[in-house]
Amino acid sequence: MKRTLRVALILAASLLTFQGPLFAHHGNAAYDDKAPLTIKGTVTDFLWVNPHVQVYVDVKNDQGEVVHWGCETVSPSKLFRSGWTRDVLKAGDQVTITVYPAKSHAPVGLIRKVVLANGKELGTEEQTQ
Amino acid sequence: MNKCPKARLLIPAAALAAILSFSIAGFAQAGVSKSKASKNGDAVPASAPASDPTHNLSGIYEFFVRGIPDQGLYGSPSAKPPDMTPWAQARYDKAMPGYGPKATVDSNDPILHCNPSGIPRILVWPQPFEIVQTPDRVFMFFEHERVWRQIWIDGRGHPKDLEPTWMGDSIGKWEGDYFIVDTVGLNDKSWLDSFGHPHSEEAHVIERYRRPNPNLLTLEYTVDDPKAYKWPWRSDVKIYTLLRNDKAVMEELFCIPEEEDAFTKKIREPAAGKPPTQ
Repeated sequence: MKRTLRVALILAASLLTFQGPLFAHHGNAAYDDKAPLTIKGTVTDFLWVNPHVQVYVDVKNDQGEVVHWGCETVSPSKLFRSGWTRDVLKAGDQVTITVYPAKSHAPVGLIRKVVLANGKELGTEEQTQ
Repeated sequence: MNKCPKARLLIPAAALAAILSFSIAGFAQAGVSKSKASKNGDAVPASAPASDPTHNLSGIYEFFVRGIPDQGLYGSPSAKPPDMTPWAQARYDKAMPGYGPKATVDSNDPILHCNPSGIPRILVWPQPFEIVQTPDRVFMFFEHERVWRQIWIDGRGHPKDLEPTWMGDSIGKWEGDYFIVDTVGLNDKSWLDSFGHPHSEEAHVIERYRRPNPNLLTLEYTVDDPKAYKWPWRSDVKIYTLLRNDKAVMEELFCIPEEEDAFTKKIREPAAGKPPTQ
């Protein structure tokens, strides 16, 4: 009984402290989850498709140049259950996106959070319970 | 790190409530049976009818992935595989998985070409599945890949001379609170897990499901594949939560080669350091 109680407590503690990793069917090894990056820009395209929803954003860098970012997140079905809809973003929207950037330094990232111009946050929690 | 306090607390809190209502005895009883399930061709005792309320697995569940050690987010039975045979080692050496000890940005995972995940890999995919029971079969419908399997519970055995398939041939029966699924007849084209471990056509998969309370489903499975592994690979306890009513919808998630290829060119390849192609 002691052992099983300990297991239950470990489970409970982990639930309260752990931020779920995002699952991409191709793996996450390309992304740096130790250095999340926040980018701000204008949506150019929003693809509500499998296997992963994609948000493309034009972002001005420190030199004033426009860099075209491609950001992926989970599947439409998981996002739907997390409160997203296929029209939640559209070209021209101003967004702030936190990503795990590609280790290759290409302007590509794995989305952790999107903040709309009105301040609404769109999360990408793995668990949809 | 990014913070989203409400979401971070509310979602685990709901899951926590579910866990805390989980019968502790459930963990105590959670051992994989050492008894051998029926081999190909043997009869399996008739199971309880699906109308038995204590033997009802129906519902839409999602693999519970949040922070449980070795829970298998990346779809592996457990952290430590059995020793491989030379046959399996040769296949494993060629595998370039996206997860696990050999994780690479340039994966050759067969699912990236829309090959089915197959049994048992799809069982531990973080995407919902629905269980539907009828008097003679238990059906599992998987949102991921939009595939399904049937588990015969009418007492039949496995057919002789099975042609290997992605999902294999499955028969099931109840043993107390456990629903035991016995699967053979798998082809060797799918990976056993997301870490690139192989399995052979000799793989014999035993799944043990239990529903300790209406909100939870647990699974332990064992892969007995003497062509590939020197001893049976026994999984950790995998935990699934019943989706809330407002979330309990099975969405369409086909693997479409055209969409998969487009995604690879636009996202995967640049992320892996390859120049984007149009």
